[in-house]
Amino acid sequence: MEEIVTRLKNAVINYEMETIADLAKEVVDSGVDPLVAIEEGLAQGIKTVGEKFGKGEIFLPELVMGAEAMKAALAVLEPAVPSGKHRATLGKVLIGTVQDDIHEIGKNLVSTMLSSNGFEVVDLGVNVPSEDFVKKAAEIKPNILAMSALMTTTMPRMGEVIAPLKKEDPSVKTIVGGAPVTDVYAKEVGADGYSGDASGAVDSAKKLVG
Amino acid sequence: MANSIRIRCRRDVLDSDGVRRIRYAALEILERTGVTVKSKRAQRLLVDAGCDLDEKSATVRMPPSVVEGCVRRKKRSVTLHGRTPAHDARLDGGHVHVCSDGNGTMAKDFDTGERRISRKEDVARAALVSDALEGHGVNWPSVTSQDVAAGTRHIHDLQASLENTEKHITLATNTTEWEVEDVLAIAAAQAGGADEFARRPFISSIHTSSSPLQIEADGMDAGFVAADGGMPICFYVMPGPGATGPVTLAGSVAVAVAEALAGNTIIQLHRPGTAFVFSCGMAVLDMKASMRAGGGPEHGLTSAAFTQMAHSMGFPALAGGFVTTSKEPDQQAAYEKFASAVTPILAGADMIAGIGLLEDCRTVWLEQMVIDDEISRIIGRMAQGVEVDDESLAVDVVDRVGPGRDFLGQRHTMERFRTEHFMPIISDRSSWDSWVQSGSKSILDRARERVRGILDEHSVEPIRDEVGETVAELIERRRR
Repeated sequence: MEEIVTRLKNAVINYEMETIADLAKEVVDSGVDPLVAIEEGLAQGIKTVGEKFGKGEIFLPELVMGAEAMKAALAVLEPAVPSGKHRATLGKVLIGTVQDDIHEIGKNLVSTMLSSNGFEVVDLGVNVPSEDFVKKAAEIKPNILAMSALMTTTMPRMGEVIAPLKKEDPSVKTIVGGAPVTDVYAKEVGADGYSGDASGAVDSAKKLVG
Repeated sequence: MANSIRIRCRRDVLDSDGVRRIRYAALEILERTGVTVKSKRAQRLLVDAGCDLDEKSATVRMPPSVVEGCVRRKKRSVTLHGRTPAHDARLDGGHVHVCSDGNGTMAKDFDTGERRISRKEDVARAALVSDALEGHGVNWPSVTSQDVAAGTRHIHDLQASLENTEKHITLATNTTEWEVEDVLAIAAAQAGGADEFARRPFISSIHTSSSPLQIEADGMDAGFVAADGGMPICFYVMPGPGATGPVTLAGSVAVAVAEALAGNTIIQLHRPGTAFVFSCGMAVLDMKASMRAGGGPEHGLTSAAFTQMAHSMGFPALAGGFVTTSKEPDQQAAYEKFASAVTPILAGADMIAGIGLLEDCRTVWLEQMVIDDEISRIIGRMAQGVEVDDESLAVDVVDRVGPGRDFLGQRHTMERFRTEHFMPIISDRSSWDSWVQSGSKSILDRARERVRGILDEHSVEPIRDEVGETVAELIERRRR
């Protein structure tokens, strides 16, 4: 059992995103607890990858491929987790690019960084209508709602989400980011956190759940 | 080849008509005006070959047939061997090897920050730092040892270099016959014999003309000893447009080519088949400051033109680049070094000299050396150009990713980003927040950290014990 979990961990560390799903199926068939496989295998693997990236030993494409490998394995393992049980994470983050804005890459980088640092990330994609953020938050109860905007014209959408969200559930924390966003603007729209880059978003998120 | 720039995308500065006309001009200069040759041995060789000697002025006029005949005598393929084979630099016309340059007399002390006369420890440290740099290929001792007994500088310079780099060493402090003999003795001690050294010469010898159109006796006679010992000869010419050469770049390049051809003629008459590297550093005289304007835009142009001339006759070229007259590693240093390096590198100069020095090749700064390494690797990426083939066009990858998604998680990306993209070592591309968080460091701070890291961690293969014994004997014999 331990051996196959180690293989799963190494498959993430070696970015085996094309073949890791087969390995995950093997894990399920072998009767290993999928929760153990996720926590001891995938989470440990992506932690190693994330640490290497933090130290500058590897680069973005490698981090993303590690995250892709983890995602591919999670797609197999998560449905096999008995209902009522949940994997341990640092917290749940709901993320998306605001309405009228289709810029994706920055938001994706933040998603990758967060998931490689132990967060569970639910990604709503781009051009997300403001009310959809609020609705989805009510449904999945995230610890953090993260929003990205790349244009000065779409930035105000952030405030449009934060106000009703806080009214509904004041415990949800919010993080905003994107090229035109500043810490001053973040405070103006009532966000709890802000970051100028993807690594900073992780620090910011950790502070908010810590 | 390790530590070299591969030239895919060559950019010439002379058209074929320009190359032809400069060649004819150089031949005309040698035939009509001639060159002052002070070495008696060289005079005899030239007269025996059919040149005309004016005894009184020591001017030798060389017929084109003799000069061109000697062009054909040189060694065709030149390799500047490393002390270890992994560092061999083949001068094959397709790669550029960046050199530290040469014989500065001042150093910015890395520990105290003081600008002072250069010492042996500076030669050693500069060699160690440059050994660690990927963008650097050949070690020309950056500065010279001035804290040692008179008459022993060449010995100390070579010892400090050998001990701290495995890369090829090109030396310019051996300007007399006996100095070259010392160098050969030390080289033989390291190689395990004079024949072993001649088979894989890991040291080459720089000799110079004195522009315009003079070749001194000592330097040339020293060159004969070096050639006999198997060392490749880098014949370095430096006409300065407006001062020691015509004000026009074409005119000065013609003088430079004439001087280099004269040097080759003498060397090949003495020892046919000697490896001969056309070498130049040609900067204009600044007409206001009355200083040599090393690193000016003309510097890169003359280096590139001279390189083209060398290549047109089958010689490898060593040319000045990475030069600046600035006093510290500032914006002027950055733009002058980039400008003077990019032109000759893209023209395919086999060796470019200059990294690590400021004040027109006078003062070594180790921080500047790692900054220049970064510039060298940037230009290396430029020289790679845009490679177009099925794999680089990647239409299958585009199809797999589709509209609106990103390419970061593609294996195609991971396998190629390191070679397709320039990977900065000391350039800062972080966000404002990250930059502030990590201490708001300037380029100089980051360069300093890299130097510190290299000095603390980098090491080279030790040299043979015999070298130390030979060095000690020679120092005892030569000290004055």
